[in-house]
Amino acid sequence: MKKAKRDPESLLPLPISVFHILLALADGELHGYGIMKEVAVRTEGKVRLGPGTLYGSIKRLVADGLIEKSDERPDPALDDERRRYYRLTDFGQRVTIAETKRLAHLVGMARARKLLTGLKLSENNR
Amino acid sequence: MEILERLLSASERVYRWLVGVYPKEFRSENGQEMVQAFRDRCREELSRGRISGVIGLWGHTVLDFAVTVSIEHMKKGKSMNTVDKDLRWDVRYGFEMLFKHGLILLKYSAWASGLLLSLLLVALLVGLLASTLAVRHKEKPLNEAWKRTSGTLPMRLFNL
Repeated sequence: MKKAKRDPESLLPLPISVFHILLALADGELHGYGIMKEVAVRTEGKVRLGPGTLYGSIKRLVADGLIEKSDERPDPALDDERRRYYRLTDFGQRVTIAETKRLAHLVGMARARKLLTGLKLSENNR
Repeated sequence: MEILERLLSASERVYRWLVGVYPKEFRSENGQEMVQAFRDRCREELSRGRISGVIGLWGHTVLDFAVTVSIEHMKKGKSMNTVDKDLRWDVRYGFEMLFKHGLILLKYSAWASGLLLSLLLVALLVGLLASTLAVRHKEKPLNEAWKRTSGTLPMRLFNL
């Protein structure tokens, strides 16, 4: 309860691996390997989380109240019962939104300086 | 197929051993799942029939292990904060750069040791040449000088 009242901005900027984990969990509960796969698919294989990075980040995200362990299982018959599922908490959702806004603001600034079109032009000139 | 299964179980065994290096609290909380996640990724690569994929996975896993095991030992029981995040990314960046530029490092090390070895060889060669090219009878000029001043040879002086 105490963590829910915290300011999401206090945790920003998030490390990129943490942001990817939160994004993967934005669509619903996933287990560790599911998060790894989701991140790899979303980034077209450019970001691959190793088990150490993943579970180190998960441990701290749980400690900071951004995600929590889930007791529900999407389909117990199809799944290994030893797997633990994780989901975003309300505070985690607010932190994810705050980080997304921060990044969107940065991209907006880059766009205002015509950096995106500039990059496009220089690529076309090659 | 049997070879792939053996590779999978050997990889799992080695990774399980690596997980044992993490702090006790961390591995009792996450160790089993980490091994399971690693095995799943290994199986995924092997199902594509790609041994090169498993080698790549190992390269990535060793790097991940080297970075995270040191971090987990340094911050036992701490939650995420700015200093930790900075440290985490600094350590990761350091390892990644070392990994990335390992070949360059190797190249310069080889170059430096080659240069050192060449210098050593040249010094040895010069020493050898100098010893043979110098005065053939080293004692001769001294003997003559002695004879000029004292009229006797030093050997005679010492009953030699």
